[in-house]
Amino acid sequence: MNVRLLAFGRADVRSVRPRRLWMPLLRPSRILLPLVLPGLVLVVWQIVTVRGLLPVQILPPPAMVFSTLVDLIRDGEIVANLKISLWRITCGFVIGSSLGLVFGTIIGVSRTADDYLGPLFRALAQIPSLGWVPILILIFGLDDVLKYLIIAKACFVPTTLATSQGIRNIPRQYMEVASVLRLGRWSVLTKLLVPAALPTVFGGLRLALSHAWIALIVVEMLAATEGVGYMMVWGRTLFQMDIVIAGMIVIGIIGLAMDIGLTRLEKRLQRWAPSHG
Amino acid sequence: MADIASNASLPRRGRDRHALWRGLAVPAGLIVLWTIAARLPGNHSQLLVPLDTVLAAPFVDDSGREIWLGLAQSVARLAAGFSIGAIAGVAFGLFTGMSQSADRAIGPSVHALRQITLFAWIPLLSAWFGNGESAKIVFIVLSAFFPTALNTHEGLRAIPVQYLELANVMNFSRRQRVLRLLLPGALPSIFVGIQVALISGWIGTVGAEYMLGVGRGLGIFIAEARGQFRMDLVLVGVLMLALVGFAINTVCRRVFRHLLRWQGGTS
Amino acid sequence: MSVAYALGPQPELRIQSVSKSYRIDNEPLAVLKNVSFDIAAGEFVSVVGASGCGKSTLLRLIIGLDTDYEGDILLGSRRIEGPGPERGIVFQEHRLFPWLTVSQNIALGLENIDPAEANERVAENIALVGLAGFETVHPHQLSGGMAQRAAIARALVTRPEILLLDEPLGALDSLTRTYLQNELHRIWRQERITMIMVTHDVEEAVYLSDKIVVMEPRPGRVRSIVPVRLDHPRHRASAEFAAIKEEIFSSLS
Repeated sequence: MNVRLLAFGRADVRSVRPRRLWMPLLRPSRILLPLVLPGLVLVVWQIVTVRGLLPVQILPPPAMVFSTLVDLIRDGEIVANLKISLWRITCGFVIGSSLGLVFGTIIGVSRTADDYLGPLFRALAQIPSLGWVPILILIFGLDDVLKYLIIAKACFVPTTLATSQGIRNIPRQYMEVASVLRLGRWSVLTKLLVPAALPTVFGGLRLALSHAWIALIVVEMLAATEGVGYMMVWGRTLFQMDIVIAGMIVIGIIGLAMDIGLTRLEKRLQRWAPSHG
Repeated sequence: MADIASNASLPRRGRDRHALWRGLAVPAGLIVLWTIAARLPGNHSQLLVPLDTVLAAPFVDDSGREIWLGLAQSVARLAAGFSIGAIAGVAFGLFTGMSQSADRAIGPSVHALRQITLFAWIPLLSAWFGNGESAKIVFIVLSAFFPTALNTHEGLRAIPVQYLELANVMNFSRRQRVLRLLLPGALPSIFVGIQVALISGWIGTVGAEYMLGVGRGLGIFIAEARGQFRMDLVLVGVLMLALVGFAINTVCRRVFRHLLRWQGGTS
Repeated sequence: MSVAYALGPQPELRIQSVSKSYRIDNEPLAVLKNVSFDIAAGEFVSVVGASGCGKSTLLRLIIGLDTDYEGDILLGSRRIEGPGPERGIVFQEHRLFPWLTVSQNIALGLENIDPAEANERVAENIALVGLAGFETVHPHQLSGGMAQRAAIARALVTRPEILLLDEPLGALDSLTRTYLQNELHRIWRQERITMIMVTHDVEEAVYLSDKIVVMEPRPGRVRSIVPVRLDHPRHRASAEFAAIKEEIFSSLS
């Protein structure tokens, strides 16, 4: 085997990749190419609606969706609904995640607690949030308690799993260092357990928030009289697809914003980690 | 130090049996409490149905027996929607994963669409396709498409540069490159995508049925039971929902582990 | 924290008929069998042997991470019952906490000490291992050799009388390794502490030690104890050096 050829390091990667001579000609593609498809869709959408190929109740023209979105923002409708939705998600997230942090720490630190409570928790975690909706509707009706409970449950499960795993996966080697250096309980907690488990816990919190967002939309579509999810159902009932599509846009933007925000926060909290790998 | 590291897990063996009993203790206690509470003379609540009634419902109760037909319908729907969605998703992931320009052209749009919570598509789909079969299938297709597309794409991206270099050095043909390196290299990730897609497709199936109604299905069974205030049937339905999800995960894990034997013991 | 021994002469470590076994599927597996040797204060002792001879296990018993053994390991007159401030250890992997800076890592063992003095001692030990200027750097930014020096400083900062070294240079490239061997020797000379090093590298052992304990595997036993009576600095190419190396190699096989 030709060892010399195989032994080059990562530094040479660029020179080995086949060079694409036509790339420089398409440089602007980096910015323009991603916009081609949405542009095409918009054009087709516009043509289809203007020519009257599809009724407005099925597909309103893009301009109409845009003006509806602007109207909904301007007259405060979206803001009012968003406020309610975001309040629900905040309460549910705070309740569910803090309970998850506590419970996850308990079953992460104590094997005995995990033996007793872990299996039941993991079995119940198999039931998706969607499954809890009808059960809780029967018990609590369409009350707001229902929404908080569903969202809290959606946050509780991933936070618990991540916290217990984060603690359990702390390398034994580090625990031995703590033992050899005879660190006190407080030092072990603040200098070892928390920082070591933090990345995993944060991953869990991120997952919790995205689950909460999904659960919120579902529960608002099924059992609410206000909120972004309800707004869409209402638009659908009135066959006002512009409202429905505007709602989808808002949901997409908020989902994206939450994910970006948490990723940023996560990076800030982990400045010690190597930037790559 | 290696000789010691392997010993950390040693004491576990003996206590596994203890762990099993301990794990059963709390659920057993809860079930006893539930049974006692439900059988108390004063209990006429429709919400507090004894466990045995709940578990017997799919066999002895006329409305309860409906669950089997519903379940069959739901699984058939899942199979149809999942196959379309997963095939499209893998194809899409392979396409954007192998061609950078395709990725630049379509990737961002798909990622933008992915930000929209899946269930938020339902009002639009129901307006476009009605509340019948096609709206449900399209929704399941969507639920299965995104995870497979994403994981296939990521799987191709995660193939170590060293292997790609090796393929170049050995002058692989395009065909060899795809069949010998790219596909097998991305396979573990594709399998993860398929498993996630099956679960998300299953929840999508029941969710779409629950929201759209019309016809038969596990979701419709649960929705009707809720409408009739039949807590026993709701519980049975939800239990079935969870069991199928559990079965999907178990089967996937077994099958994929078998198919990925070459990976050795890791993960 | 016992102070008693600190008042007397420097402790001498005595390992007396130490045996250790693990249970695997309820079958005892002997790892150490009847191991005995003494270590004088200020001595540099190396333990060499094939893998599976229990040399790392022996270090874990001495540091006190594992207290379940037969026989006695005596520090002065006291049997070892757990980790103590008079013993420090450097593991093969540096085991620095990745979320703490170099100086925070080194300061870990000083939590009960007045902050001003702790700072001083951290700075002292950073200088001792030659890491001045890297105080605020995180471990992932260090090379393997530098990380291992930080680990040495972390072990020394509590001023142990005995420093245990579990193949500390095993994972380093040979140039760094030779360099750190000299550094280790310098630190040993400068700090006048007892060092017990487990290693695979016979040359390293001969280069640094006053005494080499050769162990054989399954179960781990002492095969021979070879004194090294050569003056420092030692010359790896000298005939006497080669002779001792040869003696140990023949004892190993």
